[in-house]
Amino acid sequence: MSQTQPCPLALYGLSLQLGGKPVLQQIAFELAAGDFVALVGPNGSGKSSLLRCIAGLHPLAPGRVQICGHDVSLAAAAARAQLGYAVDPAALPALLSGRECLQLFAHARGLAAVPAESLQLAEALGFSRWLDEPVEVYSLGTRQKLAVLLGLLGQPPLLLLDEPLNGLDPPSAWALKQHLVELAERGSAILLATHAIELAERHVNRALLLVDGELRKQWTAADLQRLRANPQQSLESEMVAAMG
Amino acid sequence: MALTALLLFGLLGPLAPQLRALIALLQSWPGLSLLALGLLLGLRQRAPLQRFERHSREGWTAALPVCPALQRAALRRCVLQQALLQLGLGAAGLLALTMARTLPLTGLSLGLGGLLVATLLGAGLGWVLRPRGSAEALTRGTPLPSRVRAWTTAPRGLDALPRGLIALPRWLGPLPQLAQWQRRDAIRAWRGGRGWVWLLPLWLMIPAGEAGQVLLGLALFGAGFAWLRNVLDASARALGAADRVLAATPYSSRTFCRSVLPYPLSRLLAAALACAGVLAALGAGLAMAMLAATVVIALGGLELSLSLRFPRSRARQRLRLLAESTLLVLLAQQGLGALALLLAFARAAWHLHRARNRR
Repeated sequence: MSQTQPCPLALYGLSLQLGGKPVLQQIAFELAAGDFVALVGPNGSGKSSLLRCIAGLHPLAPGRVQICGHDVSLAAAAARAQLGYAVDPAALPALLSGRECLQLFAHARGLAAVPAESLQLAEALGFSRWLDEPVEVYSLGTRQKLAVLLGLLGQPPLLLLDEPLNGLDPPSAWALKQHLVELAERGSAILLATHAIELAERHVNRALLLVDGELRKQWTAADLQRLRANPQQSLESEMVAAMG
Repeated sequence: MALTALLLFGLLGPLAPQLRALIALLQSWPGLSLLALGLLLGLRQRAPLQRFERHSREGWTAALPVCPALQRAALRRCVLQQALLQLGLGAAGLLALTMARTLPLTGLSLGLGGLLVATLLGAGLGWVLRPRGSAEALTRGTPLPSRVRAWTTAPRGLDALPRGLIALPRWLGPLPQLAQWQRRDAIRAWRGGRGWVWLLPLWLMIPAGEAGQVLLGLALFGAGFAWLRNVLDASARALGAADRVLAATPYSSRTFCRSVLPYPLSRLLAAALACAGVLAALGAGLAMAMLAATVVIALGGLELSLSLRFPRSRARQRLRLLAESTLLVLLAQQGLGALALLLAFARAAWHLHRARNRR
């Protein structure tokens, strides 16, 4: 991606209230192409709400979200065309097969067919044999694999993943981590909400700590390199210390 | 409900003799009828109560620090309240029928009486004749049998087969999987008894002693209506769920409308044609038959367009449908039937326009 192109994600003073309660307060950060960012924080800190806000699934309160230069409020379709968002596994259509879901999402994203890369990833995740089975017979882990595959369809410039490793068996989790690293190397920006600190410590190049809807702390690539180099330190301990 | 009431008002008028016989039958034995209604509705409640009871023992609520005696007492109270409510409903139904005896069997009394009888008896008999094991299988979390899953005709994915070997028809729109989703939901609901229980009260009209042709016509009429009701409900459910699950994708509302309209609309047209054919077979004139088909299309179209405009809120769809259909009935009762029909089509077109520009 050239320097003149707008960054995949830019948030300016994003706030959100649900049921009269503040969920997100004045969130502001940017993701550059190739950024692989972990969004960490305690339960209920607003990680999933932040991802849903970016995807335009929550009505935006004060603040702006720009995806590849497109404002989510003003040009929702153009912004969503640059975005891959992993669907909640529980909301997947039970009466369609995995392949039909992939086709549906591919067509909804304007793709003529399911990209070969998605089918290769399905193979790597051990999902191929489930492709023609109805979603309703899937286990939690199998649903999670499909949700991730749907989110990654077409390799959009920005990927939003909410706990994508939940329920995955170790080989599938490993394959997914490797795939995400490759995607980041190829220029996709990835924002991944996770409790898997091991993933954040080893693979990402930035980490953001969200506490009570506020961005409490950020770790840059240099900070993470420093943590990795020193066995006496860890992101987990720093995160706990920052949470107070 | 609004569609049901309108159909009862508008189309069952010529069938008053059949309903008169049924109402007279119930009025002859009000005590027994009340008992039968209570029994049927009690049976109807058995399945959900069983599920609730099993969940309280085996579901996550079993981990709550509530003693079994308290759980049983709560369940008993729940059953008692349900029984009282059902008997109250049955009594209200009989009361409505008794009122109907003193009134001419047209208009409001016919509509209310027919609606109550169909609802109460249909729900009860539907439980008795439901497919066995489906509720239990759902509770256990095991896959339903294929006949209930409506999966046997599922097409394989295009990517697994040579191009052109299997292709979903183009008229299903740019997202043909949505029509498949609606179709499977409708078939499952139908096979699960959600739609065809409405047919059962028709067989109670056999004591009316009408000719077989009339009975067959009634059955076909009821089947068409029940199937349409089932299809519209299932389509609205599926398109609401699809709208949620696709929310983060860049699809346009026009694409969405083009994809979720073909299935229910084609079934609506088929049901309207069947309705016209049955009415013609029952002796109604061609004009009356065509008028009935037009009414079905107008009301079904209104419901369909509302489900597209407010895909995520069934309550909002129903409220708007009730309000608008009531207005149409009032207009029709004032002798402005043609205007009511025109208004129905205009409202449907307006809702569709709003739906196509929703996002």
